[in-house]
Amino acid sequence: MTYAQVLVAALPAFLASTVEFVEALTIVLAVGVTRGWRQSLLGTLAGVITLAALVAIFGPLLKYVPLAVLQLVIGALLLFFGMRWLRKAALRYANVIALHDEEKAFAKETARLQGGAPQGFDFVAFATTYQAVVLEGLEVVFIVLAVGSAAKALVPATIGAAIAGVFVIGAGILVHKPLSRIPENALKFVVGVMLSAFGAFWVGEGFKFEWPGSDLSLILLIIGFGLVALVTGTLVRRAPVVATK
Amino acid sequence: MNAIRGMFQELIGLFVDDVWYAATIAIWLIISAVLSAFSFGDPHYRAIIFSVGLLVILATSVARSASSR
Repeated sequence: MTYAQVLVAALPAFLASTVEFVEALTIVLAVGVTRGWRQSLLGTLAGVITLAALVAIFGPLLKYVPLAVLQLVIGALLLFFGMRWLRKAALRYANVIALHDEEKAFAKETARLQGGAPQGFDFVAFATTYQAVVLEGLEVVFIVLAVGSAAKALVPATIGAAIAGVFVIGAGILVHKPLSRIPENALKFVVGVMLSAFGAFWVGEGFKFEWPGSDLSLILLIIGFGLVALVTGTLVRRAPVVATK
Repeated sequence: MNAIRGMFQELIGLFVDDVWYAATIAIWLIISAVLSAFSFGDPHYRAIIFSVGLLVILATSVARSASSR
């Protein structure tokens, strides 16, 4: 395994996971503060177990899929996923849609859950954190499996995501409030660029295109996606809009 | 049933945000697959045309969304 493979797998996994863990942490904190920590953490644990089961089931199966098919399918999924993130990040940069604000998301979720926990098991608290962890975690699992398997570097991708998890959870425990200072849109922009470029590259490989400069064309794709998103976002940029969830 | 439908919608939502945008990408992938299957043109040019097409789709979608909001 080369350093380039490790970097190609670990970096997007780390950056994307940071964003997703921050979003999940906001909801877990909101539930913990308003409805109690027991159900909040139980929902989190159940979500993590569900995700671990998905990885345990689908991870090993990827070994049996031919590389060309894997590149094409994973590449296409990465392309849809990455270009969706990139478009949204460009529109947020252009102030066409509001930036995601963790403090507002926290306040909104807290207000929704106010009203006191019921006697006995608080299913609403459990289900809220479970759903948040599974949905945000699913994106992490997809990115780790997609980037890791296509670059043949599943372990570095997993380590990248794990470091992001430790970093975000550690910071969450330390500050005990939503991590609003994480530059989410900038991270989504970078990850969107990387995933779109990897997706395009692997789809091209799957279609048997010949990339000029071979693997080096990946760098050109990253520059191309980054520049187009940045220039288009700048051209349509307007006055900021009020941030919402 | 609603929970399953909700999860399915969330799953689709991971890849499809704006239907026009996702459909255009899908159509471009199909066109590229056809070009590849019939070995139309030089493979180097096919790679370049494929990439440029994706960049045009991205730029058009951002511009389109900005003008419609």
